[in-house]
Order: sequence, then structure tokens, then C-alpha cells
Amino acid sequence: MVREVKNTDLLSIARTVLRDEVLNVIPEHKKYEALMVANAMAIAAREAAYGSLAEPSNAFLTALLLVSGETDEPIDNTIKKLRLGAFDPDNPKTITLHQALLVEAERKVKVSNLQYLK
Amino acid sequence: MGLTDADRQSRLNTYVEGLVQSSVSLSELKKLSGGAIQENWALDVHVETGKWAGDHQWVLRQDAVSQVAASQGRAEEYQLLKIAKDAGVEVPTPVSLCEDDAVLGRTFFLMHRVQGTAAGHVLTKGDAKPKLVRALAQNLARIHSIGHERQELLFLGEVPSNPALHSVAQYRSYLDAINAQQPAIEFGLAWLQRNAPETTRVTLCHRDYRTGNLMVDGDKLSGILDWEFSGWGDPMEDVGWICAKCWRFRGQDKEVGGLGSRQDFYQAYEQESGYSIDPDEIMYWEVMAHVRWATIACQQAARHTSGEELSLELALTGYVVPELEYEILQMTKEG
Repeated sequence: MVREVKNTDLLSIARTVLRDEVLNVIPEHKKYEALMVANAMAIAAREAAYGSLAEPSNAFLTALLLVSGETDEPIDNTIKKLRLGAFDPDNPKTITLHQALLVEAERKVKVSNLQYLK
Repeated sequence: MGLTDADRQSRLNTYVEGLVQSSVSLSELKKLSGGAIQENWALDVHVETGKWAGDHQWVLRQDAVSQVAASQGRAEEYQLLKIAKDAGVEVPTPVSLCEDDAVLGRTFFLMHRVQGTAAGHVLTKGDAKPKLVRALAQNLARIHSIGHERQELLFLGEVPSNPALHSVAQYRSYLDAINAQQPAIEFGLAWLQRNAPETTRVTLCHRDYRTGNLMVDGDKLSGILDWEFSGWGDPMEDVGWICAKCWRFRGQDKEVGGLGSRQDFYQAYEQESGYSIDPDEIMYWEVMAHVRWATIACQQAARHTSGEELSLELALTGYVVPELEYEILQMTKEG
């Protein structure tokens, strides 16, 4: 059975055509824009496959609820506490917060710039 | 630029003729690459008679349609260029400032077009460039020789008593202004607040002194560009900015802007300025560099997402933030 084309397949083949067939024949002064388009398509394909960067992961939100000690608005409340100096090195929750932020940052980098962590 | 090409060319022709007191012929303006905040246009000018007679290669620099916070206007940037030139800094020679909006719709200035390239991905390929790195350090030391007693620089505002804490407050306000909820950047800001150094020397700082804003011809520094973020600050902020990992492009192993070694840079800076560099302090300012760039990237992305200025380049800048967050967190690991 032939499966339907997914959005990630579509972006992937469109990017291949742009890179292999279009980029070579467009004027030099437009190549920067074309490379940006190719990059945008690659990011969009990874977002479609692995989740949007605009939406924090559930694991991250749960971790922030735990470290902030609040029952809602985990990001907002964590930021408020950071600005008040609540997460200094003596606070045991600081390491937990740092770890949660790092895991979330790694998740996002895998989407925004796959090569960065290699 | 809000005018037809023919209008623009005609008005510019009249302006330049008035400037050089001669009939002139101008090339068409050709937009130069780079400059998410400013527009730069190449302009070739032939002057028929008088003291300007001959051929000139200039750049016309004008505000883009929208701005980011903390960016100087063109009149201020022109003044900075003149003062830097007088201090022996390698900058394009300023030619003329036009604040009459009737000419091109917005303030612009003309400056000499310097030779070479500023492209980070080109400059950071290949071997280290120690001669260039030393020149960068010497020129930065000359910028830092410009003190806040200068009356012509009053437009730069008050001298912060603690530049690091001033920056922390400023970046929080920038994030608030665009409703950006960025806990990793905030983690970095909290670290910067806790570890802020006492600054004993406040000078003029370029505040965007990095690969990408430096014109290089062969291995020679031909011009330091983009003075729009200049202000009073801790001179080590500029050193941290050019050493930060986020500005090394293809030359990750060359810690000064992807171009060469810290040792060459620090030694040349210390010799030229007479001040020593504390590597721990530079590490602090490298954290600040990542936090600052992440904040600016959020602002750039917001210009696109708000609909203020739809731009693929601005939209993509938002995708730089995750790797900056990752670096901030790597550098602020404690315990």
C-alpha cells in the first residue's frame, strides 16, 4: 500500500530540489536568501517531526512546577523566583532547575541546529 | 527606502552635488549584505571639479524601517566614527551626515567604503591569523582609551556605576517589553547578578566588536564597522564579546572570534592599553555575551512575529536562542 506523503517528506523533498536544482541557477546576490529558505525548511521539518520549539515539553513544565513550589504558571513563577534570587547555589533546588533547563535546551537545539551538539 | 529608485537617485545626486560643490555622476545604489538593523548601500561617485574631483567609493548607511532597543541613531553613530578615527582606530573615514528627511526620508551618512570582507564564515576558515588578532586587540585598546569626559559623547547618557548590574536590569526590561518568557536566559541573568564584578574603569565600549563587524583585507584589519550599540561600559565586556563561543563561526578552536589565540590578543591589548586582563573576569563577560545575544535574538524574532517587520532573517534569528541557552547553562553550572 502506498502511504500518504507526510509534511516532513514534503519539506524534505522541497529542500532537496531547492538545494540541488535551484540554488545553482539563481543569481549570486540571491543565494543568501535561498540558503536561508533551505535552512528554514530544514528547521520546519524537524519541528514537524519532533515538536514545536514554541511549546515547552511536559517534562520541563513538570520540573518547573516542582522547583518553583507553585501549582500553576510554572515558567512565570520560576522567572519571578529567579529574579528574586531564590535559586542561589545554596538552594538544593538550583541544581534540579539547572538540569531541567539544560535538558530542555538540548531538546530545542536538536530541532533548531542539529549539527550544534555533534 | 520609501521612494522610487529614480526619486532617490535624483535627490541623492542633488545632495552630493551640494556637498562637493561640483556636478557629479553617481552609480546606482547597491544594497550591501548584512545589517538586520541598518541598511548599507554601496555608492560610486565621480566628482567633476573642485577639491573632491575624482572617483570615490562610498557607503550610504541609513536606519532600517524598525529598530531594536539600545541602538544609536545614524547621527550619533557618525559622531562615534569621527571620534574613533581621531583616536587612531581603524574605521571607515566618515564623509557627511544628512539629517534632512527631505532627502531620503530618514537620516543617513556617507563614509568611505573600505576593502575586504567581514563575512564570518569566510574569515574563520583556515589557520589562525595572529597579526590580525593583535591588530584587533590594539584597536580595541584605542577605543577604550576614549573616556566619559568627552563632551561630544554626552548623547551616550549616564555612566553606569556598575555596568554589569546595569546590563542585567536592562536585559530583563528588554525581555519584559516583548513578553518573552525565557527561563534559561533568566537563569543566566540571575548568575550574572550574583557574580557581578566591581568595575574600576568605565570607557567607551563598541559593544558589538566581533567577527562579522570587522572588515579584513587579506590579513589586515581595514575597518571596524557597526557602532550602533556603542556606550559607556566595562572595557572587559568588549573582550568577552569577541572571545565568546557564539562569535567564532567556523573557527571554534580559535578562541578570539574564530581568528586566533587569547594569548596573542591579551598580550597585544595589555601592551597597547597598559591594563592587565583577568581571564576569570573575561569568562564572566562571556556569559554576559551569550545572555545579551540571546536577548537581542529574542528581540529580533519579536520584530518578525509581531508583524512589525516580516523577515525570514529575523525569524531565523529566533532559532539561535536554544544554542545560546545551552551555552549559558554550560557556563553557569555550579556545585
